[in-house]
Amino acid sequence: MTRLTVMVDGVRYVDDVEPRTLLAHYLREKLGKTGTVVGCDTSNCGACTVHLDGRSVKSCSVFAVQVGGSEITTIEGLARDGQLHPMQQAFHDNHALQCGFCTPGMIMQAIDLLGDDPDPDEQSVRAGLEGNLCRCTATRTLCVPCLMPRRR
Amino acid sequence: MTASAAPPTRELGRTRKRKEDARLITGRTRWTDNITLPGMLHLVVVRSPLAHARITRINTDVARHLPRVHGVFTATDLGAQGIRCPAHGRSPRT
Repeated sequence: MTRLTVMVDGVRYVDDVEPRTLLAHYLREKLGKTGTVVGCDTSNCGACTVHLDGRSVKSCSVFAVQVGGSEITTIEGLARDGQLHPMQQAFHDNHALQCGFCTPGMIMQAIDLLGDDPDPDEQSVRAGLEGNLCRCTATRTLCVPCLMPRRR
Repeated sequence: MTASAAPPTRELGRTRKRKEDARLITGRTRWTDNITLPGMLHLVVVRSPLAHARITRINTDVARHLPRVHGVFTATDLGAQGIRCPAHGRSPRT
């Protein structure tokens, strides 16, 4: 067991974890943060995307022990004082979700994408969301929240 | 034919917002795997490693006595409870 100290959604946690524990499972099973979901076994789908020290990562492809001393933000840590993050609001406003399973990961990645390029064109958005798969919607619809800056 | 610029009359053409998004966009969806209940058990289905074979025997002794295993059930056990598994057709001749 390894002692892990990590900040998740603004709260500091100290836990003993097995080195083989994936960050996704640590978040879901140890911390009860089930907002982050696991959609595949292959690190293809991106449903598990969270932010690690401000950058998006697939939490299924990170070991919990790798994030000691770091700050994690999950979908559950985006809203502040009951106020939705603008990206969460944009997904709702633009019907960029249907069943919602991919949505947390999609939102986290969309935020990261705009952090790199605040005013992307559609091609850049498509490329930026390539690692996040959705079975319900059309890619074009998913791109709209990230194209909001350009549309204004 | 061009899109009409007339305001929507009655229901057709009105913008509608989804009602179910509050949980979905904040990570509070109650997917089955997200649910934890007190005393909850986990079910594992053990399947045949062979695509086409005849089962001659299922030995559950070791599995049943493993720590924290609450039960191991085969079709025979289900039959004893009056639960019938649908029968597959006869094996095709190859």
